Parts: sequence; C-alpha cells; structure tokens
Amino acid sequence: MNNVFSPKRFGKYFLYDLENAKNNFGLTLLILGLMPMILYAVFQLINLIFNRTLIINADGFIPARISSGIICVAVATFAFGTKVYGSITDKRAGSSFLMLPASTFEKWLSMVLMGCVVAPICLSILYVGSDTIMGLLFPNSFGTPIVKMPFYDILAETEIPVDIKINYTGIAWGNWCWYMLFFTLGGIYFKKGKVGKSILVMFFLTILTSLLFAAIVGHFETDWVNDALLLNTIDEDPEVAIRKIIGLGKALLYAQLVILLGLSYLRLRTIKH
Amino acid sequence: MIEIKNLAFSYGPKNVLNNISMSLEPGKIYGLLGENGVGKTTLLTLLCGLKKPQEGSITTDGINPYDRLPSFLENLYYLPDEVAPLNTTAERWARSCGKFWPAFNFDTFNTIMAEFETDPAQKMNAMSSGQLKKTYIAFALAAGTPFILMDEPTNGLDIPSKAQFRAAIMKYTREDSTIVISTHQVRDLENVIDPIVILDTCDVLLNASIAEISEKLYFDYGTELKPGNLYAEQLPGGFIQVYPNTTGKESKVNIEALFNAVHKNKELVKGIFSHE
Repeated sequence: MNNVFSPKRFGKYFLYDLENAKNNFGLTLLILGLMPMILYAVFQLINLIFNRTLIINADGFIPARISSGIICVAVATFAFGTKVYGSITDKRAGSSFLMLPASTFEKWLSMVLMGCVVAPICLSILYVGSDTIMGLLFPNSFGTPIVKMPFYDILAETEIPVDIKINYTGIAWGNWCWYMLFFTLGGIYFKKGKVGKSILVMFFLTILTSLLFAAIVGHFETDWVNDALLLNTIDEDPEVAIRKIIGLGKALLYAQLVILLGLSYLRLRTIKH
Repeated sequence: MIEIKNLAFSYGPKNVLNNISMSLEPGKIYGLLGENGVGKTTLLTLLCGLKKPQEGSITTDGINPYDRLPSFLENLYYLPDEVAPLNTTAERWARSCGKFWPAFNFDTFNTIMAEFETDPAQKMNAMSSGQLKKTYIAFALAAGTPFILMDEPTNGLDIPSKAQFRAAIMKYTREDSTIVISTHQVRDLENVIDPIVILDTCDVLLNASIAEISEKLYFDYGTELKPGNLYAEQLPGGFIQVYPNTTGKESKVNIEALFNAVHKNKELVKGIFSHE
C-alpha cells in the first residue's frame, strides 16, 4: 500500500471532503453566488414598500453590483477555510479528521484543491450565472451582465505597451489563491478568532515587509537600487522593464504561494490533540 | 500487538506519564482505570497517534502511530470521550466515512443502531448527547478494526443502552481485536473488561488479567469485618473486603473494590503482581 498517495483513496477522500464542504459552506456559497438576484430583489422590494425609485437606471445600479461582487468574493475568501477546515483545531472534530484513514498529503491536497479550484469556480459560476440571468431578464433596470462589461477595454486604456499580453485572469486567480490559502492557514492554525487574527497577521506582515524593504532600499547605493528596481531602464526600454516587473511580481507570488502551501502542510502534519 | 516502551509525556512542567512499559495483546479487552488526571486519555491519544511521545516509543504491529499512515489508521478506530455533532444524518455520515475502513459493514452499523433504538436517518446535530454517543459506538463496532480504543464509552448512555453496549461489544468485535476501554464507570463494564490496567501518576499500578487478580487477591463478600484487609467497604447486607489470597480460594473480582484496594496499598499490590 502506498501510504503517501493512492489515487483511489484520494478520490474517496476528495468526495468526502466535497460533501463536508457542501455541508459546512454550501448554503453560504449559494447565497453569495445568488447575490445579484438577492440584491436586485431587495432594491425592488424597497422601491415597492417606500414607493420610491432607488434604481434610477441600470447605470445607477452598477456601483451596487460591483460592490456586492467584491464583498461576496471577500466574504467567501475570508470564511471558506475557517468554515470548512477550522474545526480541525477543535478536539472532537479534529481527532476525527486526523484519524480518518488518508495520508496527510492527500488531506492537504484536497484542502488546497477545494480552496483554490472548487470554491472559486463554484462561486464564479454561480455569481456570473445569476448576474447574467438578471441582466438578460431585466436589461433596463439591472444592466449589462458582468461578462459583457468592457473591463478589458478599460484596462487597455492604461499606459501599457499594447504588445504586452497580461494574463489578468491568471493574476486574479493567483491572488485569490493566495488569500484563500492564507485564511485557510489561519483557520487551521488559530483556535479562536480565526478570521480576525488572520487579518491582524496580514496587516503585521505587510507592515513588517514594507519596513524591511524600505530599510534595505535605504541602506544601499542609489544606482544599485535603481538598477534593481529597473528605474534606470524604464525610460529607455519600458517594454523590457515592464516584462521584468511582471516576472518579478509572478516570482514573488509563486514564492508566497509555496510558503503558504508548505505551512499548511506542516500544520496538518504536526497538529496534535 | 501494541508495544509501549519507556513512554513519557508531560504537559509543560506537569509529568503525566513516565517510564510506562506494557504490551497490549490481541484478543483482549483491556480496562484502563485510574483517577482523574493520571493520563488515561493521554495514553489513548498517544496510542492512536494524536499526540507524539516525548520519550520512549509506541509501536502497533511495528508501526509508529504518530506517523498516521493510512495503513495504520484503517486498522484502528478511536472513540473519544466527546464526539462531534455533524451537520448530516447518521446514515449518510456512516456511508461516507465507512468507505475508509476496509472492514466496515454498513448493515452491522444499522443493526447496532436499531439495537440502540437510535434513528440513523436523524441529523447528528439534532441528536441528544446519548444518541450521538451511540451513533459513534455503532460505527466503532461496525468498523471491524483489529484495534479499538474507547475513552469513556458509556458516559452519557442510559441504563438500557449500557447493557446493549456490553452485549454489542462482545457480539460485534473480532476475536483477535485489541480493545482498550478507558472508564470510570467500572460497574458498566465489569464482565466485559479483562485484563485490568490501573494507572497512577507516572506509574502503572496494575496490569493483570481477571484470572491472575483472582489468584492473587481474595474478594470476601461476608457479613463480618475482618482485620488485615487491603480495603473494605460496607454494602447492603454485609461488606466487600479485599485480601491477599493466601489460601488459593477463588472469588469474584469486584473491580471497584480492586481499584480502591490498589490505590490504598500501591507498593504492596505492585509487589504482589510483580513478575520479576
């Protein structure tokens, strides 16, 4: 028997984990995903009750739609890891989790796939789907569906050379994974105040890295720093500089993802009850 | 077989287990007794790999439990004293979890649930604590594992359920299973557990079979209080007294009296049962 990874055993565990996620977060995800419908219904209900027109036209409703979309993604990101996996810090549920016959690697891999693939895909499909349905049913009052909004045209108007293709979807998904993994790690590490403490840790790390970066930058010669930050080349060859900055950004993101993945595996491996 | 060698564990400065060595053999139902805080639950959690020994070693059929290998986990079921109420029905939970234990039998689970008069279609987070405990006990017995560890399994069970539990554990466990039951409720399990292991802080006071205990200690159920007893307690109609068995007479072991006798005469009893 392979005690690290068995495809059959992993398949069993993944389905079990999927059911566990559905039981603990399914309803929340459904509500978040149907928020465009819920929001529209609430606005119309208020219109009806107070005999006022809150939505003047579809353009007036867009800020509410965009805000609610951001809030839904944020809520799902903050809450998913805690709701689905946070119970492993509890003695009762945590003992059951650790005693389930699957390897730590399989449990970890399932957790990563749930947080970085399944939950984002489900939320995206639900949210975009419900938004699209509402946009098609009520084009005048609800407005254009998100999928038809000119986001790429807006991004294209920024001052970036047109022959650089930036994978915005990849960047968005990579960053979403970062936050999912970070808050899942907080969920499986802290016993209480999981989301709040995770946010505090994030603030602390941000401040710490900013201070460290400023201290390092301030310590060295200006030319060396300018070379490292490509400030000398950006005017001479902006395309190369921007490619390098994008590459540096990707490398930093991948490095952080690897650290988060490693820490979450370590936590699962060493947790005791 | 479970081999424990020079096991030590502490919570910060407080030593709980120290230099504990014993073997737990297949085909036996061990009763793990001890006062509050001596380390019964700690020992069970070490045996199933939920904690890591700080000194010494534990091996279960040659495997270190703390490695938490699937090949080890699917041969063991640990029933903790407090169980989690899940947001699903008992039968759905049993079906989805049971797949991980190769010997799990869903029909046996349903049969035991019926004997416990607990509805498997009920949601676990809507059950009383007793019903929830019975659900987990049913799963533990239906898992068919060679190693079963139970921490206070009869806590929260009503009187009929305790009798059903006794019957179920004899009926549904394998003959070659190693079962360890930690309990304060010795009367609930008096005719089930054999051998008896009595823990003290950082020590094992007793690890002996009922036959050996009966051979070395005499349990007198008479009406007269006699001198030289290791322990005596008044019962309706007489006394229960415990003596060293100098005459070789057989008697019925009273586990509660045994526990008190051992605790009152720790070194003497250890000497009586010493194999050295």
